[in-house]
Amino acid sequence: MEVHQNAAPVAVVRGLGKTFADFWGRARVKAVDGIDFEIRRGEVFALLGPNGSGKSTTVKLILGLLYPTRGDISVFGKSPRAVETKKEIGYLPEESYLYPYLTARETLDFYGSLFHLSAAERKSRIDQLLEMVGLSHARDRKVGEFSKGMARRIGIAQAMINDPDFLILDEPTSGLDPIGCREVKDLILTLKKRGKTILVTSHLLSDVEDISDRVVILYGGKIRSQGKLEDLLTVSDQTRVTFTTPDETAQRKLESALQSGFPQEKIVIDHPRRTLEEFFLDVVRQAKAENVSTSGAAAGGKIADYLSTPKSKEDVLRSLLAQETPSAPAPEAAPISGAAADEEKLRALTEERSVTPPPETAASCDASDKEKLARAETKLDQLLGGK
Amino acid sequence: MQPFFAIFKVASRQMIRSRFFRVLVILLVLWSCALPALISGRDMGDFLRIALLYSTAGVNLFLGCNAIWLGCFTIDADMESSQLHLVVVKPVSRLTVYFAKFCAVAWIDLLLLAVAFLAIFGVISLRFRYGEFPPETRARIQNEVLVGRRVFLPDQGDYEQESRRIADAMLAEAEANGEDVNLNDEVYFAREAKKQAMAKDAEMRFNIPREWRFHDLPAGQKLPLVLRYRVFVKGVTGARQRTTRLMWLAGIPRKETSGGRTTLDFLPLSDIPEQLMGGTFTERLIPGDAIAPDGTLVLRAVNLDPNKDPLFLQPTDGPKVLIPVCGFARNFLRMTLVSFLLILTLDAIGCAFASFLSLATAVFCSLGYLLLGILSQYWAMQRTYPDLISRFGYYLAKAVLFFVVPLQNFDATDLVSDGELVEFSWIGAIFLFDVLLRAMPLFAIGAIIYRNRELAMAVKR
Repeated sequence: MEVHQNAAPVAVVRGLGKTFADFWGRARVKAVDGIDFEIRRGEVFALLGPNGSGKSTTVKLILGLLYPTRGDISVFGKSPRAVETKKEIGYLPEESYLYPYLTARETLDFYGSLFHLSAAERKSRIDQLLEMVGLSHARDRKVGEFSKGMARRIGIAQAMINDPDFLILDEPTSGLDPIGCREVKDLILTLKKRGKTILVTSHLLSDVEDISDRVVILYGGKIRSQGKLEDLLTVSDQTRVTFTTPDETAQRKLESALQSGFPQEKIVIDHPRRTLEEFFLDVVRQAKAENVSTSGAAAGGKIADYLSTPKSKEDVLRSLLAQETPSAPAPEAAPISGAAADEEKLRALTEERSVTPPPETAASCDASDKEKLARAETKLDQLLGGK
Repeated sequence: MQPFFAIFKVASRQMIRSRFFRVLVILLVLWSCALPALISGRDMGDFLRIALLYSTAGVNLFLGCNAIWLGCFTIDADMESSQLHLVVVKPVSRLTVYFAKFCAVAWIDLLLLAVAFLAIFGVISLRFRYGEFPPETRARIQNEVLVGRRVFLPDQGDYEQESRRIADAMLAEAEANGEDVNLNDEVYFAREAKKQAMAKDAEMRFNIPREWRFHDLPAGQKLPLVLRYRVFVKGVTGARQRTTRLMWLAGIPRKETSGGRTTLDFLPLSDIPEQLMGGTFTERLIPGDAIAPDGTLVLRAVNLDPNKDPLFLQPTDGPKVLIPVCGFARNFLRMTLVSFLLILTLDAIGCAFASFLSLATAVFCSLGYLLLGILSQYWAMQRTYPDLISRFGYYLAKAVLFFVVPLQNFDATDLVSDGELVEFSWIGAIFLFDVLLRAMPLFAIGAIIYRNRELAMAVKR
């Protein structure tokens, strides 16, 4: 589903500022400092930033858990503190703030009751949600006994109990295994297709890159960059030529095409892209270079002296090998016996994810690519006459 | 109401799972079942009364602590663990959350109170029914403990006027002696005068009759009334008390044939002077026809101590006139109602402080608030304020009592154990002045703060 450009925005933030004060009312920390953005209906909007940049504070302000020191927020055209506004909101906090003595079913039943859902409706939704997050087998287990990943899944389920129009997910993939991450991302895209609006905050930039339409990058409580992901990640001052068939024949054809302007050859020319991670780090690095103040974590990177003692080559090799050894899957990652349907689903998802070739294949592919690249460069040199 | 009951249910489960609550429940069970069954001695009448007093007062204490703790815990626990975030981002008003939690605490405490008091009532009743008492002890227990009797107090002396008169006399005497009287001396005279006035009012000299006048008694009373009092020999300390003798006389109204005036014929209540132990409460019967048609009763006592020592009868020690009104079960139920109001008030105070303070601070402040109320009430009830500072303290205590709940107002356990009626008018006064006008405004302030405060912390714990 397309983003409704002309529809009324779901959330509007104007000149938003939040300063935390001490007991005597003296300003201590400026967590958010005059930010403006809009979240449009039907889009996946990501809020990015390093620790302490004001992401979670902004989310809490949008939810009405914190109150702005200055500026305005409206959600569905109303104050975020209005009770009616909350009927359409689903929220997954950064950590699983669940009641440990309630079972998975009781947890969802409790949150469903807060939305005035009838008992039958709650039961139906709970069954579906537990199936969706792969916790049907653990429906009568207490949430306090859950692993972090399982608690995360039940957290996602509670956020969806009211079928919200506006879903706020704070670090939705945190604590989830790769399968869980994939499922959450699929879920977000499915919801987007259904016209739901989603606000995501995450440190996992690749996850955000996969699902987001627009992003805001915060640093020191201020917006450092915002816009469509496509626009932000496109390097517009460079041009890339892509070959669809980079073999020798095609290259020869291309050579002649470039020389004589053959129109039949399919040539794709586009702009090379950086990864979101590169872009994000660049923004943060620039902010640091400009000495922008932040109440969050300061620049790190240097390992403590007692930890950075040089190791022997054998130690390094051993540690690298140890890192390569695949770890056993966490028990909660895959649904436990008894849920045949879940196992099928997981197998299918695992197969989909197995796109990384085995090390030997990867190495051989890498070698042939390099050879091809070297040949291509030689050809190009010949074409351009060594320029 | 669906969200209300959902929160009510979850809050109840959360409280039941708290360790503090579990420890208190164990103590409560032991106290309410074991204590009334174990206390015993030679004089079973007194021991049954003591068992009743200690067990009910203990239950009030345990449940009072529980109410404060649970009131603070239920509001603060999920705020501090951020579980509340997931509740208040749902379409539920914060006032609903606040009231649902308060009701959950009140419900649990009411349930515990009912169970504990039922256990005490059962054990006391069983002990009375199946205990081996002499017939006179059984009758005494029935008439003095397991009964609800309305209390009538005599007119009190005017200590202010009397102490002023004594102080003036002391001052005049000092000036007559040519002493240089300064402000400190005047304060000293005033304090001494007050003490003397009170001591004088309490003192019964040998062979000099003292008289007490009671009003508003039910005229035409057929059943005998009960007179309850305690005298001390030589001084008001409990130590070195001995047996003494006292003669009581009741003024029986008699209409004069000429003029129609009513006069009183003082008739002794016993043939010989009553022999009694100093420092212990004594009860005796008065004929119902001693009450005048206008509801007045006049009693006289004559000190007939064998050593001719003075006897002391302080205002708190009587004499009181008691009229049986209802049975033990009804009176016990009335006390349960007062205890419930106490628990409700403490819950409200705990919730109110927890609405804006952390758990530990809220508990501390709640206890501080209650202590302030107890001390203020104590200070405001003092009868003497001889100097400026104590008078200032009196007015300060009075001012504090406008908004602070004095906890001692809720104590009905001593009334029930003494067989005195817990009056509905008294319960109503507690409900109006202590619950509605003192505790509920604090609770409402807590609700307003809870509704308007920020609930997310800057740094997660």
